Amino acid sequence: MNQFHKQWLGTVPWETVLTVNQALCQAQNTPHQPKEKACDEARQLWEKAIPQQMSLKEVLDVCRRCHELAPFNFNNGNTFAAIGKTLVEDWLKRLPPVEAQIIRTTVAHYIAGQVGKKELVQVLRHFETTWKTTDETTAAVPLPNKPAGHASTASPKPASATSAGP
Amino acid sequence: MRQTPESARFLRAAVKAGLRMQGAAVPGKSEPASTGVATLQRIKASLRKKNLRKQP
Repeated sequence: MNQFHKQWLGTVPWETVLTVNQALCQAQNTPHQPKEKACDEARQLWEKAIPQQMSLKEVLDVCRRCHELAPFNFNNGNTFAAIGKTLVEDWLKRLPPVEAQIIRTTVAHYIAGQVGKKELVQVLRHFETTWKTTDETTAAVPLPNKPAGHASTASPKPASATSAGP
Repeated sequence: MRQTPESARFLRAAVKAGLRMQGAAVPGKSEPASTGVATLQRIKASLRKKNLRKQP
């Protein structure tokens, strides 16, 4: 079992999260409105996670938890899903396009709460062997010890990752 | 907070990914909503058929 951990959020300060949300709101002509209390909670959670060495599952949990806290009035889903996708992007470049798309979609849907932990783990486990063949210094994918499941894709609703609502 | 080249690159990529998702959410704009999903659906349908055939 690959047990490498990585400082996933080292290049992602909280200001980046704010800027991503601001850009997405601007593109949709919606106001960029952080909610004071929730935003503060999410920022604390995020900043606590920045220096930590984590597994992919753990960093995705941080994104998911921040999404659940809904620190913004608009685009919470797209903001954290976009960040989660970008975190794994470098590494997905080494996979065949269809497999990369399966992981990309699953990661985004997991953060947006559209697929559960079980499905995420099944998908990641399915591709574990592929990751083992890639450069282990960057491919840090520790997974819980569960029996391998078949590749299951996330529900085909990329649009619903948007949570544009108060 | 001072931005490093890596964090600036990450920010650009994340905004791009977010905008792409937004585009996918608006029919007729940017990429279609089902980008990449049709292939996955075909794979799942094929697996479902295989599994059905295996069952007695």
